[in-house]
Amino acid sequence: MPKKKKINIENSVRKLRFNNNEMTQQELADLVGVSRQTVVAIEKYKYTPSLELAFKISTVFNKEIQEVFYIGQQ
Amino acid sequence: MTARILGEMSGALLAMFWTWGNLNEFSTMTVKEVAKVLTQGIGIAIVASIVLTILFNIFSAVFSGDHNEGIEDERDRLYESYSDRLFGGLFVSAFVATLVSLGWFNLPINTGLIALVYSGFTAGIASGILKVFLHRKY
Repeated sequence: MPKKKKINIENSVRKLRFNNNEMTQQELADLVGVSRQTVVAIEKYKYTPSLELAFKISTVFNKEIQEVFYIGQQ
Repeated sequence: MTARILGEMSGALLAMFWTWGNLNEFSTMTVKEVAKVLTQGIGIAIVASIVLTILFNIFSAVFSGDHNEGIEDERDRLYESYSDRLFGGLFVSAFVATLVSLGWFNLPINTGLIALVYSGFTAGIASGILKVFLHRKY
């Protein structure tokens, strides 16, 4: 049986927020309909959002999903 | 979210203390009497958790200024599912353990009833602790 390989999904949400008129975590949370704590967890790579939420976040920044979320270093 | 979890846990804890205080002489009580106390305890747990959740929400809004307690997102639902799994696992284990004790080790029916209800309260508190832990850690 092949060994399961865990992938690290990272993101550039924090950078994009700052490049977007220094948008606050609360503002982003309100725009995508989650709590501020969830945005904090996503930015710290402690929580990987669902595909739906990932699309919502990338739509807020007018980016393709793979520009916001990507596979990090193993 | 945290206020609701704390409310539920405190309600269960309060009901445990209340039932324990009213079941001092459970070995001499009839099954009907024990069942009555336990049912009242469950009722107290439900009412207390609602009242305490409201109070904790008010305190949280007043002292921390956090008015976003109502928002429940996918992360909360994920952690809720983990804690529900823990609740189910603990409760089913305790249920089977009680049945085994009743069937094989001649446990009195009163003790079995109490063990069942207390395992429900304990599983509820444990699942609350897991939810708080997950929210704090991640």
